[in-house]
Amino acid sequence: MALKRVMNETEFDVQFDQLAVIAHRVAFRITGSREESRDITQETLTRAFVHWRKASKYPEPWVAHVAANLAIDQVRRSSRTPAFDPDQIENHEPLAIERLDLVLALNGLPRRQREVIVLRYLADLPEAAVAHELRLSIGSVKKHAFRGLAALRRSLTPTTADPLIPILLEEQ
Amino acid sequence: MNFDHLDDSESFVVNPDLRSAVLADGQRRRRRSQHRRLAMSSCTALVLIASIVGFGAWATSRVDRVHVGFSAPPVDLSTAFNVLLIGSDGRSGEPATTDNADAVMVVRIDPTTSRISVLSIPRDLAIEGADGPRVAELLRGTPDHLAETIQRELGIPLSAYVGISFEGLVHIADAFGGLDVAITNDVTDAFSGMDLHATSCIRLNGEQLLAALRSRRPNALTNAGPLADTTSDTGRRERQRALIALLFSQANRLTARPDALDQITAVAIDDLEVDDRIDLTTMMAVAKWFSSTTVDVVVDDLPTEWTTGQNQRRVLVVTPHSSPKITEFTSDAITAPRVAAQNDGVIQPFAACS
Repeated sequence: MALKRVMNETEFDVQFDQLAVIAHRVAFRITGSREESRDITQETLTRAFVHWRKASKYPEPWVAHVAANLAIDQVRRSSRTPAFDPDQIENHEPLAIERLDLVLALNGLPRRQREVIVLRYLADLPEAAVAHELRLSIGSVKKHAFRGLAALRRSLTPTTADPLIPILLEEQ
Repeated sequence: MNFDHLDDSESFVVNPDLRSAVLADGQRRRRRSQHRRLAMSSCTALVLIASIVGFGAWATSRVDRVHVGFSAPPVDLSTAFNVLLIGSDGRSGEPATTDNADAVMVVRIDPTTSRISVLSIPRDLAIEGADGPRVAELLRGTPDHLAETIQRELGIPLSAYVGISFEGLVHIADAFGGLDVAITNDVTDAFSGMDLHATSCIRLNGEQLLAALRSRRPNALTNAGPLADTTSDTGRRERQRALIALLFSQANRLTARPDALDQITAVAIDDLEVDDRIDLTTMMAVAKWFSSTTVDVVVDDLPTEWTTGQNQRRVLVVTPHSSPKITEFTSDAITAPRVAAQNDGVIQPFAACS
């Protein structure tokens, strides 16, 4: 029992840096804040450590999934405060608006589509890893990704001339 | 879709502080989680134990109990024991009082040989002699006087008492899905509602079984023509013995039901009266033994003869012929299975399915 725990902790330690980078990237892409991303990374890695027996099966998608959820929650919490309302932000950064639009658009997606979009495009994970984490077939991942992207494009279609929106919607 | 433009312009560097903070916080949360799991499992176990104990106490308290003095040790499934069984014609849910007792039996259960011997005792028997009280008179109020007399005069040691209404027997039969029985002749009884046709095997439901158990004046259609049973209680006891023997021998079908425990508990609460010495655990153990064992059942009348006492009263008394039968219930002797004797003039349409 003790040996197993030591081995698990060693395994976690070896993958720590790589997982931290993934968590930070996902968190920053959503929140745009270094401070918040660092907090989210720490919380994500702590949860991964506590639930390592489960997380170790597919650590990268697991960490990306948790980091994305924490980041979306963080943006949702912040958006409830008047200071983050884009209409009331003075000299607001265009990317901040874009992030807020992205979170709102993600929140509007069905759960499966949102999970696939986050893992596939925000965490840049391959389709096979996304399929493993979500216990879906690769075909289902493609289907949810296609439908989710179509819905995102509809939500994020610029109603005003915003030079940054086309970048977001650009296909790879 | 590409989100690279949303990346941090400064590359993220994992510093040792992050690692140590994660490990310290993680260890603390693990410990807390273990404590919570331990507390939860302890609480669950406590609730479970309390529920079982509570249910057992509740079920035990709901079963009607009566004090009976016994000369034998309590029921123990490792050795043979005798039970005083009194069947009454009471309704379900009413106390199975002995005032309206229709059948008095001593049941010897021998778990070591899977044999059940049933000794049927007539209501008109005066156990202490022609001038003593009849069984029906000894049964006024409680079974204590009868149990004491049987133990003292016949020398049959008793370990337990069970009173059951006929409707209770019906519930037991319903609990294992009906009673399989062969009907040798068409038989009807307008008074009890029995109406059965000759067949090699039929599954009697509760209502049909109740009508058969109550039937005192049946009419049969035999090859020789219509036949009426005028033996009254003698014939009824004989048919009851046959049906009860079938009931005992088919009790192992109870295991087929997923809700066997519920059924047994419901029967125990609604239809049984037991002595104040037997506990629920023993009742469940006996029920479990019945349901998992194929038993060999022999039901017999206690041989008796009619006589007239000093007060010109006609009563039954034990005779020298009674002794061998009584001995089967007082010793550990293993007796060979026998076919129960049949009285003249009795219509006996019930037999085991072939």
